[in-house]
Amino acid sequence: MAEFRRARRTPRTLSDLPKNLRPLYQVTSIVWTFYAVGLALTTLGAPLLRFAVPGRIVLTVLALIVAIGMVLRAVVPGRPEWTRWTLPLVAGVSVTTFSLLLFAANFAGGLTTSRVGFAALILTPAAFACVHYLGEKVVAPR
Amino acid sequence: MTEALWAQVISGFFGLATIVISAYVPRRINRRRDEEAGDRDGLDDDRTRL
Repeated sequence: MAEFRRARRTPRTLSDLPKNLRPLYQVTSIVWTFYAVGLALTTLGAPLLRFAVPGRIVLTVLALIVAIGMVLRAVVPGRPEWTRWTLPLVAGVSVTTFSLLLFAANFAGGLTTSRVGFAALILTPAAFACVHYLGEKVVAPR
Repeated sequence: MTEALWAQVISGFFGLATIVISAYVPRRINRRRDEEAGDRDGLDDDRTRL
């Protein structure tokens, strides 16, 4: 019940938001869409991940779900809080892909500079999730 | 199980742990912060998330 009342109280549509926040929500949605589509393409097509047949399909589907959610958040009013589920999801996909890439490097002969860099770039969404976590805890106290 | 399958299972476990932690921990922090501020039902919290 408390969750329902909290949801009713928080801004539900773009017009409910302060004017300076509206474009910010749309821009963050578009940025997350780019990340999610990039993750989906990486998990689907990266040569290193060829060995993980079921895993990369699942990761691609999850990343595309995030991408669709973020496109909807950008263009359809009423979804400013969708990052509450898309952020954990994209962070999970990112960490899983990172771990799979390390295993793949092991299977493919060992870590190289480019493989380390590629895996680190894949971790970017998870880093954003950490930023949100720190923001909740430290930067935005009441 | 083959090595490839083990790799996927272990990676999936890391991913699930990330999802649970990143979804649950901020809510717990918010709830604790609400309770410390005397806001039992969280209705005084007008902050939004990006």
